Amino acid sequence: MTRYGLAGALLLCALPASALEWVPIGGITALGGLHTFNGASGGFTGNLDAAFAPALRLSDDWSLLPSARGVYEGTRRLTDVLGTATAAQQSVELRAGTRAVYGDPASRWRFKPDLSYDVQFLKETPDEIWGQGLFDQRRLTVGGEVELLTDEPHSVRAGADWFTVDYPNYTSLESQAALQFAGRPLARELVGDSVLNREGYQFNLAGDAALGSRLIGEAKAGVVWSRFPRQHLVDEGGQLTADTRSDVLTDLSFALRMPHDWNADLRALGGLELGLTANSSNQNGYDASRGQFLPGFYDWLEWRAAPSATLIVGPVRRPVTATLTLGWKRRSYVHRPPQSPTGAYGAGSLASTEWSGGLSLSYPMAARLSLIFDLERASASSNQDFQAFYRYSYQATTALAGVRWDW
Amino acid sequence: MRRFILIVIFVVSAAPALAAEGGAAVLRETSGLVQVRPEGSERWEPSGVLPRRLAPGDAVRTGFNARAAITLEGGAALEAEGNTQIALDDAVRGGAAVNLAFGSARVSARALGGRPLEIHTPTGVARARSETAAWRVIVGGGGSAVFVVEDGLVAVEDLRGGVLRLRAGERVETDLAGLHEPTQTPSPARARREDFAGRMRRELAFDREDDALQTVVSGDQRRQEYQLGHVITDASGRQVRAEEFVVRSSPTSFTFVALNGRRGAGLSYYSWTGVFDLPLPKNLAPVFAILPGSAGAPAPWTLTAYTATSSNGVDSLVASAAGGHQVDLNGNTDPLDDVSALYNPATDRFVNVAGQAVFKVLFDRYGLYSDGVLKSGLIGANIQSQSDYAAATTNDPLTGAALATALPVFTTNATFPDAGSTRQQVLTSYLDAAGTSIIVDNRAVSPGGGVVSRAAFGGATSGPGLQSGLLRSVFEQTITSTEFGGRSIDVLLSARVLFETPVIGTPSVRSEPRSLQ
Repeated sequence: MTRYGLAGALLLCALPASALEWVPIGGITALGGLHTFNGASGGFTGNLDAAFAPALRLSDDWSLLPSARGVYEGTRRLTDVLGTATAAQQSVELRAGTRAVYGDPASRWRFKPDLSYDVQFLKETPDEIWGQGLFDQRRLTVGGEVELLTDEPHSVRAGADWFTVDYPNYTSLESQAALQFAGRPLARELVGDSVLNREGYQFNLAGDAALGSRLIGEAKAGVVWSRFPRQHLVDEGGQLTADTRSDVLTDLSFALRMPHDWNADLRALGGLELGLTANSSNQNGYDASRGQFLPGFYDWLEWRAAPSATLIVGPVRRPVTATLTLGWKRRSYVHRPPQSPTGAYGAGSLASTEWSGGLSLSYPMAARLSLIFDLERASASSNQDFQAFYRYSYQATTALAGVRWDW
Repeated sequence: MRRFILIVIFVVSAAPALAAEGGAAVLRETSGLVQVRPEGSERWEPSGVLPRRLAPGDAVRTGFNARAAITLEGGAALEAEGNTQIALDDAVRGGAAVNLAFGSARVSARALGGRPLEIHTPTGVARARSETAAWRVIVGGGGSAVFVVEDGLVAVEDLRGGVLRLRAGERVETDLAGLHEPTQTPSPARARREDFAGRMRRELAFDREDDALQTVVSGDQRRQEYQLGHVITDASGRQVRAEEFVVRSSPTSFTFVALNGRRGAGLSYYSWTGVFDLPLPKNLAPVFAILPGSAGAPAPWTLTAYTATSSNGVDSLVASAAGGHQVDLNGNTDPLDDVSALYNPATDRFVNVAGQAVFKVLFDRYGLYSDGVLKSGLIGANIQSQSDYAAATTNDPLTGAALATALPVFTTNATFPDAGSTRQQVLTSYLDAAGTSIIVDNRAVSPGGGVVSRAAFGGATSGPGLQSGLLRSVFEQTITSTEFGGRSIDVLLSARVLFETPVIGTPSVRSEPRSLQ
């Protein structure tokens, strides 16, 4: 490792001093606030998001963007996985990555190899200890992207990444039982240990373009193909087969943005985002308490729409902005039947609908320093009446206030 | 040689001469894709041989990364950058005017001598106001334009007639709303730096976009674990991991296992193994369906033996039974064991079966063991009703081994010790010399911890009302026994399993203290 570090340092030293230029990029957001979930409050806590990226221009063709980011979340946001009924959840995410950008200034093409390592710590209940959270995870990603500049700043991008994600503190209980209670029939054959660990490939295609003189359109498509090498498939009898789980998550989204100026000090940006996400898995479910086989348990389809409006008041460099966002999404678990309040399976597909609204205000205090106010509210309903484990229907609110400093 | 020099001089001097002639401009130099659309034509054509004279109304456009240099009337120079479109305008006399539709261009002039020089954009016009002037214009989305003055004095006018005079080093933006506040132009080094920073911020945003999809996948994995009941909060607010599965160890048997894991407390489990008289199908749903009993006709499979175990890895409470056979409890001679409601695992309903034949399994031998110590037992021979059981006293009912001391008599008492909460305590007291006991604490757990209020179950403390309430919640059962030496077995599991699996005795007898029936 030291050898590679030295080689990298030598390479940098070899560049002409005049060609090397670096620009620090970063920002810190510190917010304090409250999250409530079905009336339960997580208490007054805070969120901190700090990012730093010393961008290096190595030559006219090559740039390097090493970056580091740390996020602490004490107040849950509505983009988190809600429904877990732990309003007091805390998380920490640390990410380091680097992205190189190669592009002949006379060419429309840009090539961007990248590498990143991400660690997430999650503390869901008071008895969990930092670093020993059940869903702590580590992710390594290696890949690259190609960008074709169509009409600057608009472009089309295509990327491919290989990734591996592991959950160091998650080992299936069944595999532990197989070792601890050997001789007793407490585990199935082929039981895996780190069943959540996955590896695979991610593919992205994105582009944006001006649509006439007043509209900007964006389109994105992403596919994540995950393989779970230690999670065997469940068969009709609830037993494990030799095959292992494989999931494909596909995401499509389209956005329209419409800037509008009333005068130099009063502007607006309207937006509409439409999206579709689908997960397809070869894994099945099995309700052992009644021997019920649940094929296609992990397949789901989600539609979403989010109109937004931003009002920008004041000088271009230091405006006051207020953003109102509305959101609707509906997720259908295509092959999963809904359950009665006691858990009996019904007919049809389990589905849940979430409506959300958000108001965000940014008020400039000084150069690069802004006051931030965020208010988010979500309301979800579902035809799933069995909610002992996970809340499909909920009311959640997050209110945050703080400062943001960018440089 | 002299002739050649004369030709070169002629060619070099030809462009200005052309420009000066008849008020025309001249396209002098190009790189990359540059096209010209003559006045009145709809077609774009290659720029052709240079220098090329341009008439008023002619338009020139450049492709990506292309460039075009034009000498305007009066000698002013205009350089169109990539992705740019301009058109010559005859709006001014004796000078030059250019319409910049989109893209960016730089114009410079020396010794204008009062001749007008103008650049028109969709939202503003820039005019030279000094003998020497140079400025850049960038037209962006929506027609907004940025005017950057590099030399001399330039007047910028918006669509509403507002005018601003800019000097070298100043810039201003116009849009449909008019002129913005003028600002100082950054130095070339700073502009280059800001441009680089802007591009790198964009790359940073792309980096985060890629991560967003992975966040969706990871979040969904966690959501699934919760939906499956693999992560539960117990009554005391601690996180408990739970897994339930079925193990098929032979064609005629299966084991249901509920495993729990607590941080720092290892594993605990409840397991129930049933042995049947015939091979079972792969799909066990119909087998689970007949476990509570079969109305109308005997079930196709008869449970001949079972073992139910609760354990924390050190201690265990085990109930075993053998000699199982199906009996129509509503058709036998004992009216006390008649069945009026039968649990249906498929619907979670208690079906009225009063007056029908109801076949349940009765076992001829049964024993309850706490840490391996036989606490109670029942024996019989092809018994036909619950009342046919005889209490085992001197021999182990399953192995037949003689006991050192006779089994004591016991009493069972079920209470709800906490007013208002769904916490049932079943105390089995043994009238032995040590006064031993087994206590089973049953609780319906609220999401996030705590015990569900009894009001949520309509106040029910027994029967289908309590049972259906327990099914709606996470169910936690804690067992303490004198033999455990102060330890306990704490398991969260589907209460359904305790309704489905046959037990010995009725709530009034409570031979099986874990029973919820």
